[in-house]
Amino acid sequence: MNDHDLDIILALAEDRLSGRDAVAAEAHIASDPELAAELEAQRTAIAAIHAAGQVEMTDAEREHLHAALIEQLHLEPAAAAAAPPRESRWAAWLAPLAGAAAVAAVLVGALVLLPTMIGSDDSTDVTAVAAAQTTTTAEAQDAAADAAAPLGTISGGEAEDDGAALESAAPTTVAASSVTSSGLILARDVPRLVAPDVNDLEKVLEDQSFPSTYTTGETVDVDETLLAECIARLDALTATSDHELLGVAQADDGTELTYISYLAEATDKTHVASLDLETCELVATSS
Amino acid sequence: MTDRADRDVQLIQRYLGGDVEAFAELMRAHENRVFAIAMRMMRNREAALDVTQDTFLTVFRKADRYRAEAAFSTWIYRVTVNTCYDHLRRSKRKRTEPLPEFHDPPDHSTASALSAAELRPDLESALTKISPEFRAAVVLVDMQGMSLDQAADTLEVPTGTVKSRLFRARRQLAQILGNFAPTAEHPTDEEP
Repeated sequence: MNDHDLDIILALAEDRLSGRDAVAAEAHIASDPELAAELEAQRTAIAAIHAAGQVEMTDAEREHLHAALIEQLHLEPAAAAAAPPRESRWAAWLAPLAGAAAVAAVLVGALVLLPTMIGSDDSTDVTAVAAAQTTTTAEAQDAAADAAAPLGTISGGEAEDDGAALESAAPTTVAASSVTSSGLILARDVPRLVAPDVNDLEKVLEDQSFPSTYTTGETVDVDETLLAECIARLDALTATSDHELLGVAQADDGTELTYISYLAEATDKTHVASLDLETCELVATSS
Repeated sequence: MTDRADRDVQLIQRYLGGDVEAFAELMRAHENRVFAIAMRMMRNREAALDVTQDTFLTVFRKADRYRAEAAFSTWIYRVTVNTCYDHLRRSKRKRTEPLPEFHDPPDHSTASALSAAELRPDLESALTKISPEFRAAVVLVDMQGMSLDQAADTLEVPTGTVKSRLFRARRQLAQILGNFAPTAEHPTDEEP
């Protein structure tokens, strides 16, 4: 079948021909059993597809969607005068941490849970994660594409298959958390990612093993001063604040925060990295 | 530009100025189609709602970068499809990970409406067996009524590629539905 035949089959299947053109085209296609079978297949598929009804959100789903977006985009009516926030993405997460006591609403976010490696003890448990802003691989890659694409032709974040490692680093589970001055409280169960060794981080990210989940209401203590310092170091290290905090991991003694994972969007590839909070140095990356 | 496209540009500018009503109007204008695309791509209501939410989050967070060189609708549907691709890949890697509930289940009064809108089981099953890229061509052109050029802009591929994907997707669907026995050789299997 050549391109001409393909065009004729498509035109006939989609009823774009009429009169003598249609009769001639039908005759041409009918003269070749293979082409006739192709046309019949196209018509069969189109008929089946068109028989499907339209789908719509229910009112409840629509209301939930609007409410979630208003919250996550900081579009509370009282703050309507302000433009959408474009400040450092760390700020939205860090500000509540620095606050006094009240539980601050935090954005729904995707998490990557990275292991603590204190003492390189394989049995060391990771007990804490924190959600920052919503992060999807699509969004991150979208931003990466933005850097190279003219404005107005922004890619929607199409990922190629060779970006598997990156993709695997962003869990599908969307989790919500609240932040208090004393810690992070998970609002719902989230997946837990455990690497036996920091050097295995990349492998674990690719393997995507989630042997367990954290449970709702789990509280995590964080050292705010240390966290703030390392976030500043991270901004300097990556020469941009245009990245997303994905999560933090902590030793099971609840006292020492050891790693932050993040997505850096300002590069040609999106990276998932782990930052050692004791040295403020990158200890593992996956891209 | 069309009236809709012009209106979208105005709304984006108002939104960037802090007008929450502009956000609401943009949502009303595009949410049904975004959800419909997501639903057909994901075949799972909950996943489709996830995609819809992620799509609008991406679009509104990056609204300040939009310069109207392409229609806003093209951009948002592109984000929708790419978000679907992304979710499909991730869900494939984590089949055992349950998705969180973040919306109320439909009540009985809406159940019949929902089921009426679902795809026939055989077609729905068939759609799962073709690649996401092929499925996207079918969803945008055959289900959403886009032209080949519109679909090509949305998918950021040449029009010929959309045509080829559409042809092959329909053929595969027909084959799966039992209406087509492929022959040994199909020159059009190679994309332009």
